[in-house]
Amino acid sequence: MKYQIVKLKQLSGKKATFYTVALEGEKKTLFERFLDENEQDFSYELIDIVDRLGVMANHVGAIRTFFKENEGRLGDLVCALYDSPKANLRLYCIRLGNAVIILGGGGHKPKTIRALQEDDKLSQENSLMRLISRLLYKKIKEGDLFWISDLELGGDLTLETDE
Amino acid sequence: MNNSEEIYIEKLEKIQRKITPEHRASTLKRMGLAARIYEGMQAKGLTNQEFAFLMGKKPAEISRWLSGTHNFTTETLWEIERVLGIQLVVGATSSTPDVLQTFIVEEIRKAFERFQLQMAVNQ
Repeated sequence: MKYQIVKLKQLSGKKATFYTVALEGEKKTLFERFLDENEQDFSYELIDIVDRLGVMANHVGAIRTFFKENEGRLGDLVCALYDSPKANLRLYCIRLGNAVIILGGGGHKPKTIRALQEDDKLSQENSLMRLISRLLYKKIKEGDLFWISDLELGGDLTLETDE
Repeated sequence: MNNSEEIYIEKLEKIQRKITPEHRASTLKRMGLAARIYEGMQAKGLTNQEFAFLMGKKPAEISRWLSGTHNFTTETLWEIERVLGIQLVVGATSSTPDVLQTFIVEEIRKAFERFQLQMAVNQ
């Protein structure tokens, strides 16, 4: 299975660059799928999320405190965009410093559930990001993926599993 | 050197068009304040927990403040200004001199360390 890291043109600014993941054989990227899945029921929350990502990209950067860390295994860089107390949407991502974020998918997280494992969809989206994080780390460690500027990744942005 | 592929999402554009100037201004203000408070904490070498103690709040509340989603009251911002020795509210400067602020922060930090030590001894 192949996963391609792609840059989001509309969310790339002078302070941060947002990427997402294109899955082999699928038309839509993970972030696009997230927008599609939640457009109907959580349109206001989506507007708020997109606005916050835009402010990070162009004005303040992707500061650590804007994200909930340790949403995967310890040290695997998987986090979630911080949600306000009234919000219901969870968006998973991989944060590489203040300037590069890889957006994944997510979904509705009712306030009645505490752990993501209680929800199949969230659990699935989180597992996928953890897998991508592992593959990404391997590429970085092997020197195939690297920084080409403070704001941009370069090299081989295709991640692959043996399956 | 390979550059990454750039994509354009039409739906994202559609959502971006729905962001009103008022919403953007409010988001910018909330996130900008959170960023400046975080910088202020870093400049003073304060952890989340230490800052919470100095503010008389729980660490979870500080996390919310720093998340960029919180609407601050002016009173809270004044209190943060006093503790961190920074200016957040334009047009209303803090009345406590810098040296005194540093002294107060140091004293409270020492008190917090003593408190933590005492808690450890009691356990």
